[in-house]
Amino acid sequence: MRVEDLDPPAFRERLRGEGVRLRTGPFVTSLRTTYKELADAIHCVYLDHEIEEGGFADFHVAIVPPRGIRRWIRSQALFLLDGWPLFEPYPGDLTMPLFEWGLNWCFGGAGHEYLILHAAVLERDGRALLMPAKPGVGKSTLCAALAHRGWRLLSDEMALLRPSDGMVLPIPRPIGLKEESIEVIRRFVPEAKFGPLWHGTVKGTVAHLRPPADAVRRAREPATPAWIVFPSWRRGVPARFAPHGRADAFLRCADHGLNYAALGLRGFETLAALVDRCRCLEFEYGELAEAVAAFERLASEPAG
Amino acid sequence: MIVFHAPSGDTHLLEPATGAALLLLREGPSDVPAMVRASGGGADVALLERLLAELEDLGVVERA
Repeated sequence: MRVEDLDPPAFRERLRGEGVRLRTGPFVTSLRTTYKELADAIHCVYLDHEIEEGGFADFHVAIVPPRGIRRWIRSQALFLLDGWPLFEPYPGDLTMPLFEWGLNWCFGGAGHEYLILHAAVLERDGRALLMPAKPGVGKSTLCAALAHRGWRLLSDEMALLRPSDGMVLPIPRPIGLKEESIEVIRRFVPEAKFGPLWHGTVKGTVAHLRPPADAVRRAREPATPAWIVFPSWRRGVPARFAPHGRADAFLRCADHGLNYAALGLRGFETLAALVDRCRCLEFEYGELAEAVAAFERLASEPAG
Repeated sequence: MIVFHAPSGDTHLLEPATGAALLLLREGPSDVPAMVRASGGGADVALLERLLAELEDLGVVERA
């Protein structure tokens, strides 16, 4: 069963009652909420995701208002994991950003069977492109564009590396875009489906882009890492790749590792194997169309 | 060269000369004269002593 098999009122009702077990890649999250706007936003941007009927859930999440006056006056929302609040209460009109960031925290903090890097991941012809980056360098904008121009989205947020064989596992979820990136992608991908705008978050206005249906339906197909690219956006610069040293690439990836330190030697060996098998590049761009063309040329290069 | 120090869980980036010294020590205990000889006589003694002191400070090698 998929989210699309329930209409929005039925989906809302499920979330208010028994909850929904939402599969995102290897993780299943049991979710409950009483917020209509959150239910509708999830229905919109997770439309193609699977709903598990029963079975094991990795995370039991509820997004609910607190008890007391903050339920009504300057309303707040709580992200509960296993019944306990994970964070300080969040503004009650920003439930979707709270849900997305809370899920990131859950996956990054508990998915220790994988080495998890903060990176966008896309795939072409079985080869995975990893783009580790700090916020604000244009990673998500580039990822959203590529995901609608021939690359399969594995994740906008985290690379899940399986230590046993070094493969990267998909965990396709909505792509979070902020501020001017939202309009950039609306223009670049007119067919893209967005959820509502959420104003006043710590990152400004954010919106979530529904991942392509094909990427969600192929969420059990891992990919072989082939490229590590460190992107950066600068107004007016031509799109260009430049080689990046492996030792520095290793350290930068480790710096983006959500659980690198927790995995110890296993994390080191997994990351070393990743860097050894990948071509490491820097990428600078100013125009999205040029960037997409540059990645098209990269994908056309023979493997190895 | 990147090395992982299991006892501390730290990851270190080493310059090539330090990495070469560490690779020699992986083969077994040694001293500066023996390491100079192993390098074909080209290694600078003062540099090697400094590198070994740095590795010792990091806890990566220890004095026998």
